[in-house]
Amino acid sequence: MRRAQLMMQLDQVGPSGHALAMNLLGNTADAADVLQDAVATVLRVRSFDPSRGTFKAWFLAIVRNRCLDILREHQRHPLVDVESVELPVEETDSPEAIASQDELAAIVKRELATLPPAHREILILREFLDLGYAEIGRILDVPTGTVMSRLHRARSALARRVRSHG
Amino acid sequence: MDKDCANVDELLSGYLDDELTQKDRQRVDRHIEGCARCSARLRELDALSASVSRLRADMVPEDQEEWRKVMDNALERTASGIGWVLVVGAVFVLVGYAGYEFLLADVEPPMVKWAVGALYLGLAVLLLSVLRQRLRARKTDKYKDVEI
Ligand SMILES: [Zn+2]
Repeated sequence: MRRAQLMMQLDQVGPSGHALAMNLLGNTADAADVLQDAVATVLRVRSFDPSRGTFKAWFLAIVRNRCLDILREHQRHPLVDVESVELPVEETDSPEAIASQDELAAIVKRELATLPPAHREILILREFLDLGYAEIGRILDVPTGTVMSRLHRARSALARRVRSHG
Repeated sequence: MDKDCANVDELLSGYLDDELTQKDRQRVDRHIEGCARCSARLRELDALSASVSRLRADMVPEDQEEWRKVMDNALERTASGIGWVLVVGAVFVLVGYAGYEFLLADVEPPMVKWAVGALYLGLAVLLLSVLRQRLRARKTDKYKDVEI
C-alpha cells in the first residue's frame, strides 16, 4: 500500500485505536506511546492484507498487542485464563432498581476500569467502538463463537459487580 | 439454573447484539416467553449494555488533536529510524574498510595488531548480543496463544 493511502487509512482508524489503548491502559502517556508504536509499525511493515479483514481490525490488533505488552510489563494484572473461570448461578435484579442513571453510570465506569483486561478489551471493542463479532474475532484472533462467549462472560462479570453495589 | 436456562443464557449477549442465527434467535424468543428469570436476565444485560454505551462519549475522544500529535511523533520517529539505519550502515562500511586496510598494512610491534583484532572481536560480540536481544523481543511480539 502506498504511504499516502496508508496515512489516510490511519487517520480514519487512529481515534479508535487511541480509545482502545486509553481504556485498556487507563493511562494517557502509555496510550500515546502505544499509538506511536503502532503507527510506526504500520508505516514500516505495510503488510496489510485486505483478504484477512478490514484495515481497522488489523490496526486495532496491533494496538491491542502493544497494550498487552505494556500490561504484562507492568504486571498490573495477573494473567488468568478467563475462559476457564466457572460462572456462578446468576440471580437477577434490574440495575435500574439499584441506582439512578447517574449513579449507575459512575458505578459502571469504575467497575469497567477494574475488570480483567480480557473482559475489558472485548467490552471496549463492542460497546465503545461498536464493532461486530466477526471484526472483534479478527482483532482478538479467535472464532466468532468465542467472541460471543467471551463477551457474555465479560458482561456477566460486569453485571455481577454492578449488582453488588445494590 | 436448569439446563435449558443455562444454554439460553449463553445466547443472550448474541441475542442483544443481533449476532445469532435465526434458529438460535427463535430458540431464545421461545424460551424467554415462558421463563421469567431469563427474560429478567435479558433485561439486565440490555440495561447494562446501554449504560456502558452511554459512557462512550466520555471514553472515546471526539477531537482529533491528540491523534494528530501521536501521528506527528510517529512520523518523526520513523524518519529518525531511517537516519539511524544510514548512520549505522555507513559506520559499518568505514570500519570494515579500515580493518581491511589495517590487516594488510605492516604494523610494528605485533602487539598493536593483536589489540586491534581484539577490539574488532569485542565489537562483533557486543553487536551480536544486541541483535539477540532484539530478536528475543520480537519473538514475544506474537500473542497468538496468550490469554490475559
Ligand atoms: Zn430460563
